[in-house]
Amino acid sequence: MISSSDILHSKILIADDLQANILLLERILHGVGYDSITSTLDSREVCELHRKNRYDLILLDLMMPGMDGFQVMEGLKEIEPQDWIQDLNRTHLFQVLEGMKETAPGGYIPVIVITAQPAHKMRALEAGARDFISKPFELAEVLVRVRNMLEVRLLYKETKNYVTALEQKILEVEASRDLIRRHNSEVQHLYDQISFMDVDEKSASQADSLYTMLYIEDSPANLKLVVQLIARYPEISLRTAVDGHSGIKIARASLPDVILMDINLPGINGYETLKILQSDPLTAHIPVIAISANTMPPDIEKVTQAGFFRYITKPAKVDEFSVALNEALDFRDKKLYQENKERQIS
Amino acid sequence: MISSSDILQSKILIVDDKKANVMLLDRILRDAGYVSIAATHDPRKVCELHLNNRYDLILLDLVMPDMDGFQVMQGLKEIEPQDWLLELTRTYQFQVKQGLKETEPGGYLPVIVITAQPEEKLHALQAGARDFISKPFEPAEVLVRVRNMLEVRLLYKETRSYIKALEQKIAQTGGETS
Repeated sequence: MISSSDILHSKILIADDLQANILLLERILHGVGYDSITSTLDSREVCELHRKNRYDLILLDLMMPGMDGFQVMEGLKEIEPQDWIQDLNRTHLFQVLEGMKETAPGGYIPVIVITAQPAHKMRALEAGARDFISKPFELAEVLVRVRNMLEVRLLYKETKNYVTALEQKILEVEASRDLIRRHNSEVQHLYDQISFMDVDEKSASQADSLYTMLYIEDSPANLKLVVQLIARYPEISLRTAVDGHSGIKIARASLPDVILMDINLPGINGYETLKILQSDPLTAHIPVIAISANTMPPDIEKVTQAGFFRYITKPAKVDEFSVALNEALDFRDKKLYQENKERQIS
Repeated sequence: MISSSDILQSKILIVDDKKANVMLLDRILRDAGYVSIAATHDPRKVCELHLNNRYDLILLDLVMPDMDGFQVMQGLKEIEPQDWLLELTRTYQFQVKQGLKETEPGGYLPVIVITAQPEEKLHALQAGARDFISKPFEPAEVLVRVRNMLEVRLLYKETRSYIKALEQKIAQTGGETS
């Protein structure tokens, strides 16, 4: 006979008005190892006992004085919750997975009735008993009925616990996934902001480009626009600076072929920056194109007088931009040619 | 009597060499609403039938010529997987939580034996039958034994697929089920 040790710890209640019957049943059950058996001679105690102790199984004599077995079962039904398959359905969303089940309503009472009368068997089942044991007792019958009943109960309990644990786990995992997702988007946002500033890093790696341009611009929007424009010129690689001082540093270090500069810069403005660049023999030769939002004629004059090579207005028109750029690069080429010639001569 | 429509879909096989018994059992079951009932008079065919059809329940007469019920059960044991409670234990790592259960090795036989002899009952249970029905048949008894057996099987099947679904969900979201 198969029985796991868990089944043997199940709580069993025997209700029979004959002491001899109780003793016999206890003997049979103890004999195979059940260790949690209570008994009562008084049928009226059964409901109260079950309410307190929630037995896994009740062996109930049908013919008892006072309250008979049928009345006891009525009482038990009121204590017990819904049919446990329905309970399982609700709790664990079986119905979502499988569709609503058609189970009869009514409480699930873990009762096996003890009866000598065949006629009572049907009635007992209709009253809610799960099975019956006949009198006089047969060893095999008692054991197998009890065992089968408890096995179901045990299976139900264990799976309920496990399913609850799994559902809990799912909630935890989903929660931490949300956290990671939120975290990632914050990091990504930061990264986006930073990588914008690193455009010059990218363009510096274009070793095979012919010309280098330095763009001094503090506005990310304008920067983005020019980056897109320059992309059409594969022969030009772009470096950037966000203000005049860093622009001067980069110009000295990398000696670009042309500088594009926003006139309105934070710190030292475009004019001052230009002055410094032109006073330095290293950078004086580099043509500087000014970009400005101011379109009034006096400003254009001011710009050209200050020494800017060309002037274009924001937002930069593509044609205007390429004309200015080409002229600057031509200028550069000519200058280089001249310098070479001079070197050869001297 | 409570029965859900799922239980009534269960596949049942009746094995009895007496035609009258087969007809009576068939009638009792069909009247109660069971729809999938097969029968054979030949005990030697049972194992093959079960291999092909995987019944949810087999009603097995113990006393038959040629091959008796005990021999049939022996054959069935070799087809059936481990005791399902044990299988449940292994599959779902209950043993981690509960400790290894002391269950006897051997197959889970969804078999109810039909017998008139009290001495045979114990013997049958030891051979692995899950329950028994006495002869002469009582409809109430037949139905309640069949119902209780199928209820367990159904519960087991349902919880197993639900647990699988949950475990899969956990795996998808990147967690571990241990």
